[in-house]
Amino acid sequence: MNYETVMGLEVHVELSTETKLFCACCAKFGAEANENICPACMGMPGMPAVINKKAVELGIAASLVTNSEITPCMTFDKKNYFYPDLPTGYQITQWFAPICKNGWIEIETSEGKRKITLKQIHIEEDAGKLVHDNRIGASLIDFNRTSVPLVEIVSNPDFRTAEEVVAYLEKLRLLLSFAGVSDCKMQEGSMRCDVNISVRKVGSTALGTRTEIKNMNSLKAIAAAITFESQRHINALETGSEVLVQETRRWDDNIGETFSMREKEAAADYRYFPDPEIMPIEIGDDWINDVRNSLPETSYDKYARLTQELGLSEYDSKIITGSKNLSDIFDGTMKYFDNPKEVVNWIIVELLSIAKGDNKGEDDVKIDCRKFAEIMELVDNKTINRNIAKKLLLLIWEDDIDPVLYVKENKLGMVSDTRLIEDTIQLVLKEQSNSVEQYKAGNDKLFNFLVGQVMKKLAGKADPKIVNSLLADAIKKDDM
Amino acid sequence: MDIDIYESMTKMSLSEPERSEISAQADRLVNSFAALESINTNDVDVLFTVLDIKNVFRDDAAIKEIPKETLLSNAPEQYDGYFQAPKTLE
Repeated sequence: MNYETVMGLEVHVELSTETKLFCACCAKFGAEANENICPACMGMPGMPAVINKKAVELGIAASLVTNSEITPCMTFDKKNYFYPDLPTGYQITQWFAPICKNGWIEIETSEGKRKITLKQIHIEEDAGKLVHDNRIGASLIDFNRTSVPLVEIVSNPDFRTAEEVVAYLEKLRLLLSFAGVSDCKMQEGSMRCDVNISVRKVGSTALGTRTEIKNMNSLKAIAAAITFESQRHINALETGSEVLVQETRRWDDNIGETFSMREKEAAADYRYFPDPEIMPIEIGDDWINDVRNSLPETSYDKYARLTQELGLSEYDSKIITGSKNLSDIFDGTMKYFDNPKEVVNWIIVELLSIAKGDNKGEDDVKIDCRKFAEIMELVDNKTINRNIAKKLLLLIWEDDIDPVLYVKENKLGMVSDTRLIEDTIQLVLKEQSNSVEQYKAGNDKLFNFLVGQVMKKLAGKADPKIVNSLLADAIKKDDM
Repeated sequence: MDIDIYESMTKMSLSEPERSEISAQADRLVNSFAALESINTNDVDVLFTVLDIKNVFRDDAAIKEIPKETLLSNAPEQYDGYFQAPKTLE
């Protein structure tokens, strides 16, 4: 029997705001536990929720890049649930009038292009973090994340394969990160994805029993969880080994299986009701146009500009525009050193390899663009050679040195005195007379060895090209 | 009112006397709202607010007014910078 998998996605994306959704606490990731809390996000009585305007603007931006219909007057609602990660006893979200509906995103897989349709996007507050500590037999609560603004992007059940899900999430990440909506880091939890999954016989239109999978923090884990869960459904239907129930399941990446968490509460249990504290928000055409006009270049426009206007290769352009962070480093460096090919080379070849050695991905690379450009400038105006430049980059990465000052203080400038280089060559020719004879007899490899000897005597501070040409001349003269 | 649903939603276990007391209170409350059901609201728009105020915003600027220690000191139990709650792992 042939089965098809039917999936819908709920993607939570943390908005790139300075502060929380309903209070002025800092919303940045990585602070010590309970560093960013106040009476409002702790749910103390009498603390009114006042919405962050930037969060609404980022919500509008998310609506625009997903081709959605923006709600002219949106409202917020309270969703009741009792769990200590939200001290108010409810989550403020949008149930009756979310910020937008009926969007779509085009994805591309090995099967070609397809539109994935979106049911809606709503703005809501995140919950805090619980740490279950077995040593003291209690749960510990960190409210830093409580009330951090999110958008939840709800798709229709349009997905049939894990490949489509991964392509969609990649596309969403690019759209949202380039629009400045979120940094979309799955590892840090600023982009989280729940998959609603069911299987049915090919040709059937009825949906099978649905489960929801949570707790996947990489694209690889999502693909693996989908493969496991759809096979579990098919096995259950084929062999009757278990009865499928509608429930939430947790993916365990180490074991490679999903496990039941709890039976999903029916929607009515949340008893949504309009939040009386938050006034309705009218989003007029002027506001929408302002946000639209201030949207930065998309990764796709940037790709076109890099390949067509700046003449960069498709390969290089894809890497740069595949990450908002790399793309920002490219733009930032170009401001100081306007040579796109050189800048891209330094990013892809040198910077990324240093980052990799430090276990940092493309989105986590950080560099002072001015200093980065200064290295390129120093190579370009022949003050230093490439090898020294690479060492300087490592020193910037590790110790944030000032490259221009460092070159001066450590006398790393290239030897530009041709006479000194020629004298050094003569010295090497004398010392290495055997190698010179062998080279002349046809052992071509020894030429590089001789270049190396000259460079060594000049402490690596000469332009290898000049050394090459002067050495070739010297050996020729020696012959005559 | 089904008191079992109330218990499961609030994640509380009640004693028998508490169950009958809360059950009676809840019934009175629900019944007093039942009168609303007799009104036909088919053509009435949902009322989100009675106030004529819209678009109340705050700027995205961080403020820290009360130190963490003060906020934590309000909790009955705390541990290593965390609020401590009974074990809630489901």
